Amino acid sequence: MTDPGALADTHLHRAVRTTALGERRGRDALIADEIAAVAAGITVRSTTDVGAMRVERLGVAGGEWARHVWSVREGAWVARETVIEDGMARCTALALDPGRAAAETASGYLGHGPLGELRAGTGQGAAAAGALLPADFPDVERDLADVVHRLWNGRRLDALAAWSAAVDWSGPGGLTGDRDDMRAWVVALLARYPDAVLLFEAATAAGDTTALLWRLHGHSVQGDAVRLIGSSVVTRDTVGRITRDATLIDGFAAAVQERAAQFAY
Amino acid sequence: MTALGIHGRDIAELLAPQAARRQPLPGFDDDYADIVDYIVRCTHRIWEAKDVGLIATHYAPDIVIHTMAGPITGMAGVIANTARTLSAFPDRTLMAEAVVWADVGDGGYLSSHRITSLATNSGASEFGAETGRRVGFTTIADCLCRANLIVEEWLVRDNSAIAIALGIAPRAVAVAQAARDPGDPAPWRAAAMAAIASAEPTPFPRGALPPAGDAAAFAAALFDAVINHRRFGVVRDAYSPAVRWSGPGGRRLFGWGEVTGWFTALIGSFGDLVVRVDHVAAVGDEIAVRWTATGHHDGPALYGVPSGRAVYLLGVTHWRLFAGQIVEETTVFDEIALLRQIEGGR
Repeated sequence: MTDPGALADTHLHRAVRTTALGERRGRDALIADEIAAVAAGITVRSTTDVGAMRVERLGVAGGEWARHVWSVREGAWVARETVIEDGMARCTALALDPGRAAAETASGYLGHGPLGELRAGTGQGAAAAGALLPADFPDVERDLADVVHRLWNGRRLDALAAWSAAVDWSGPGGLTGDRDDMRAWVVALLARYPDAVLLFEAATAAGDTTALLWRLHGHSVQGDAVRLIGSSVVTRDTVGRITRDATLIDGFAAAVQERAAQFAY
Repeated sequence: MTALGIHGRDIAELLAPQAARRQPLPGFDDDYADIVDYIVRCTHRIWEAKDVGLIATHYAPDIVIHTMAGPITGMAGVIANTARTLSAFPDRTLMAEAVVWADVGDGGYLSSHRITSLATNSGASEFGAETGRRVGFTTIADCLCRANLIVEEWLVRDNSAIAIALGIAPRAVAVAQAARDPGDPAPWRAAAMAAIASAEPTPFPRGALPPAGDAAAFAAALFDAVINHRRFGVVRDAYSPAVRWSGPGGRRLFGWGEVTGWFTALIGSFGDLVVRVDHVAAVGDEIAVRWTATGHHDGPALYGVPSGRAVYLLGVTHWRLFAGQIVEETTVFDEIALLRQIEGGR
C-alpha cells in the first residue's frame, strides 16, 4: 500500500470512499484503513491508470486479487473514490471461508430496505434500445455503453458478438477465460438476480482502453435485495471488437447484503 | 468580489489566516474574508478549538434556532447545548461539505452550511449512556448572519443516523422522549402546521419544470410537482439517471428508481403531506432549499404502523447540478423528532 500518511498530500480532508458496503468519510478514516491493510500484510503489486480510474493488483503471501479505484478530483485533490474490490478472491488469498466471513460482516451490517423500482418508469415495456446515460458520459463511449446495456438490461446474449471469441476476460472471484466463460458468468449472475438492472455512472478512457463504472441493483431468487457497484475495463481492436475485458463486482459484498438484516423503524 | 467557496480547498487552506476581504461584511470581525470563511472558521473555533465562549461574539443574544423538535431561544441555550454535545462527543470534527449562501441585503447573508461530523461517543448524550462508538452524521445549518452575529438559524441534524451508529433504535429514543412530553402538539408546532396546511393549493403543474438556472423557481416547482401533486415521474425530468442521493437515517440511494421510491414512500407514510419551500439559495452549481411540510401519519411505508397523528417536518435539501440535472442530493430532517411526534410527543 502507499504510505498511509501520504494521503494527506493527495486526498481532501473530507474525502469519501464508497464501496458496495458503505461509505468511509474523511481522510483520517481512509488513513486508518490503509494502516489496517498494511497491518494485514497487503501490498499493491501493480497499478494501471485508465483516465480517472486505476486498476490494481493487491496481494498477500497467499495470493492476489483485483481492485478498481475510481477517483473524482477537485483540482489536484481527490475528493471522492469509488472502490470495487474482488472480495471473494481476497477471501481466498487470506485463507478465509467466504461464507463465514460474509456472515460475520453481515452481523454488523445494517442497511436500509430497498426503495422504489429497478427500471424507473418503464413498467411492462422492454429495455430501451439505448443505454440511459448521465449528461457527463462521454459521447464517444456511448456505443460501448449501448452494447453493455443490451447484454445486461436487454438480456440480449447476442450482444456478446461485440466481444472477440478469444477475448482475454477476467471476472470477479478470480475468474478468467474467453467469451464463453464470460457468457457463462453473465448468465449465472442474471439467473441469480433475475430482475437485475445495470445503471451507468461514469466512463473514462486512455488510449484504446475504456473503463465503465456502473451499479447493479436487483433481488436474488430468494428475494434478498442487493445494491452492488461494478467496473469494467475493456480494450478494443481497430474494428471496435472487445479483445480484453476486466470486469469486477464485489461478490463478497453481495454475500454480505444477502445475509444482512434490514433496518426497521 | 465574492466568496471563495470550499471546492478543492483542503482544511489547512480553509483554516489558514485569510487574505484581504473578498466580500462586503459590514460589522464582521476583520479577519473574516467572506461569508464562507466566517462560517467555516467560526465553526472550527467554537467546536473543534473548543472556544465555546465565542458563541457570545457570534450569536445574537436573542437568537432563535428552529429545529424539528422545537425552537431554542437565546444565546445561553446555544452555549449550553454546545457544551452538552461536546461532553458526549468531545472529539467531534465538523467537515464543511458545502456552504451555499445568499445575499439578503443590508450586509446580511443566509448561509446553508452542510457538515459531515465524525465523533466518538465518550459521554452520556440525549441518546443514552456512553457507548464508546464512532458516529458519522450530516447536519445542515441555515444561518441568517448580520454584523458578525448569527441572528436566526434553522438546524437539521440526521439524529436517526447517530442513533443507528450508536446501536440504539431511533424509535426507542423517540418513545422515551414522547413519554416525557405533555400530550398535545406544542403551540409552535400547531401554528407551523396550520400555516403550511392553510396555504392556497397550487394549480396542477402541467408544463415543464423551469430551468435549474432559476434556482428559486426550479426548487419551488419541483417540490410542488413531486410532493404536493404526487407527480413522482417528474424525478426523471429533474434528476440525472446516475444521481447519488443521501437522506435521513444515513440512507444512500442511486438513480431514478430509488429516488422515486423515496418520494413514493414519503407520501406512502403521510398521504396528505403538503410541502412549502421556505428559502432557496444558489451559488454556482449548488442549490440549497429549506422546506417545511405537514401531514398525517396514515401509511406504513417508512415509519411503522400508522398512528394517524399530525406531523411537522423541517428539512433542508442540497443539490449539485450538472447540465441542468440534479447529480447529487442531500436531504436532512430529524427522523427522531418525527418519530417522537408519531409516538404522541411534542
